Amino acid sequence: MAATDRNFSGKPVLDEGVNKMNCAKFQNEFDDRLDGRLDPARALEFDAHTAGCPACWPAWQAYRGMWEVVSRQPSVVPSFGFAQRTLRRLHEQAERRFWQLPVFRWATAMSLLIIVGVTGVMVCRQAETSRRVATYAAVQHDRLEDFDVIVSLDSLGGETQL
Amino acid sequence: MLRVKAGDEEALRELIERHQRAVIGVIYRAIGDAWEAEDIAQRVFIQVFRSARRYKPTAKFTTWLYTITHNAIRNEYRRRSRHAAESFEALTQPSETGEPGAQLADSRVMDPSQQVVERELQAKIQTAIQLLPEAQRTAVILCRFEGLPYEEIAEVLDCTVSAVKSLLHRARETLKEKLYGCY
Repeated sequence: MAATDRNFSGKPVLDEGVNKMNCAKFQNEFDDRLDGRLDPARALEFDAHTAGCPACWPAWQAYRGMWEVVSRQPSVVPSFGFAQRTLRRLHEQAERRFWQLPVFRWATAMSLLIIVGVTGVMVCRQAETSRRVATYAAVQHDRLEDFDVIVSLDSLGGETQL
Repeated sequence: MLRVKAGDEEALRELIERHQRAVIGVIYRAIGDAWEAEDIAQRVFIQVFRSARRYKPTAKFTTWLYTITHNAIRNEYRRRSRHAAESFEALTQPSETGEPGAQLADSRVMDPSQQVVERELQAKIQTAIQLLPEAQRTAVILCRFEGLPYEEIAEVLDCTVSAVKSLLHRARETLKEKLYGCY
């Protein structure tokens, strides 16, 4: 489209010295020209060629146009307090890391082990006590039965002489 | 940076305030989500603080910072590709409603129809950039938006200057094709 504009504007569109070899050379320099990596003399030569070449002009316009369009991608503004929030996150992570230190992991593991051990011992003791109580209760129960027999005999008085 | 290296948090705050816009901008352009961009940028600065001891003053700070940013973006893409729930579409389709933190690069007042056209164009550009291969995408963002020279981009991407030139050329050819009719 730009080339057509130039035709209508009446500017020269044909460079007498143009040849395909030259065009390829200039078209290989599109990137360098876009990124400002051509030295000033070469940049002038490039501009002069592309401006007058019907093959290079539309290609260059398309290439440059695309690169300009890309810059229209919206930018983003950091939200208020971004730095503050980042520092807070850093502190939180540091705190979490502190509790994740190996010494704390070992301490937690040891504590759990002790708790499990103590609970186990207590449960065993409880079971042992229950067993003893049951035995004692059984023994006492027998004794009480014997006692009942004796009391019954006593209540008979002199009727029964053993 | 030397103060940050010594563990000075006030220096880190200054450093964040100085570079937050660039870092968030690079990440946003790569992933297209303003909230995610801030989250990743926070991780980048935390990483800067933690890795400060390894920083050598001979290297340019921004190069080092962009290298960390590039790695963070790469990790985010890997994470997203692992989580199928966050579909590829979500990765490549920028929000139509606009992000709270996002702001148009061109702040001129436009009528609604122009705004719609502009928004569509921006979405198209964003998608085209995000669909570029990783290294090409980073090269385009650093070259076009951050104005980094090839040498610095090469350091960030850990490749040669001629490789950067080639990456940019291929990226531009792809973008020219994808954005055909927009310029």
